[in-house]
Amino acid sequence: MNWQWLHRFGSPKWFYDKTHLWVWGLGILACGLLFLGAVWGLAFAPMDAKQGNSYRIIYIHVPSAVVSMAGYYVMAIAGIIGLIWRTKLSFIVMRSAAPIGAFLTFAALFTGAVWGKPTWGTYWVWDARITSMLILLFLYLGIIALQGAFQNQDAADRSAAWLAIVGMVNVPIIYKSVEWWNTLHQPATIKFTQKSTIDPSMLYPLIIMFFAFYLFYFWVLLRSTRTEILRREIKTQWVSDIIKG
Amino acid sequence: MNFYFATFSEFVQMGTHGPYVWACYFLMLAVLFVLGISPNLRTRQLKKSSRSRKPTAKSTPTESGSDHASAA
Repeated sequence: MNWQWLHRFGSPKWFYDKTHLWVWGLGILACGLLFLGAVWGLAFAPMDAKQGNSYRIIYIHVPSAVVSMAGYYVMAIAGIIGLIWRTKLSFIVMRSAAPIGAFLTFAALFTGAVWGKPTWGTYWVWDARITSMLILLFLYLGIIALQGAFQNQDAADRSAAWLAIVGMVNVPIIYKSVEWWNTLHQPATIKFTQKSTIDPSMLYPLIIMFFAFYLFYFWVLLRSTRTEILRREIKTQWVSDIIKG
Repeated sequence: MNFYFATFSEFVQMGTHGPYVWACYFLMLAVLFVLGISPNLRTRQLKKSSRSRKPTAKSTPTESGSDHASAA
C-alpha cells in the first residue's frame, strides 16, 4: 500500500500552511458556543427538582470530562501513528494534546468535587469513576513529564507514545465504571441507545456545551501544534522567514 | 425562553448553591483562559528568544574562529 499521502499530511510545513485560516474560524465558533451554552444553562434552563441549582455544574463538568477522555485517544492515536509511520507531525500533536487534556481532566475533577458537596455531602470519595479519572490526570502528567525528561527528542516522543498507548486501557474503565461497580456517581445522563434521562429543556444547552468544548479543544490543539512546529523546526528556512516576518 | 430567576439577586444566590456553582464556573473560565492564551504566549516567547539569539549566532563563528586560531 502506498503511504506517501500520509507522509505529505504529516509534514509540519504543510500542516502549518493549511491550518492558518482554521484558527480564527474555530476560535470564534468555540467561544461563541461556550458563551451561549453557559448563559443558557446558568440563567434560562429550569432548576432540577432533586438537586436544585447545583445541577447547573453539569454544563461544564460533563463536557470537560468527556473531552478529556476523547482527548486522551487523540493523543494516544497520534502516538501510535508516530511510532508506526514515523511522521513528525503526529508526535508534535501528541505533545501538544497532553497539557490540554491534563487541564480539562483537572477541571472535571474539581467541578465534580465541588458538585459532590451539596449532592453527596462530601467533596471526595474513592469510588471507581472518580479514582479512574484521577488516574487519567496522572497519566497525562506522566506523559508531560516523560516528554520533558529526555534530551533526545526522538526518545522522549517514543517513550511518551508508549505510555499513552498503555494508558488507553483506562478510558473504557472510566466510561464503564458506573456500571461495573457500585459508585456514588450517577450513571450516564445522555444515552445513545435508550431514552436520555434529562429533560429536553436541560438537554439543549448541554448539547451546545459538548460542541463548544470539542471545538475549543481542537482550536487550542491546532494552535499548540502550530507553536510546537515552530519550536521544533526553528532551524529551517521557512520557520526563520515566519519569525522574521 | 425566559430568564428562570425572579431577580438578579436570586440568580447570583442560586438558592443556597451559588458558591458551588460560581466557584466551578470561575475555575473553568480560568482554565479555558489559560488554555486559550498559552499558545500565543509560547509563540511570542519563541519568536523573542529566536530574535535575541540571532546576533549571538552570527558572532559565534567569529568567536570560535578566533579561539580556534589562538589555540592553533
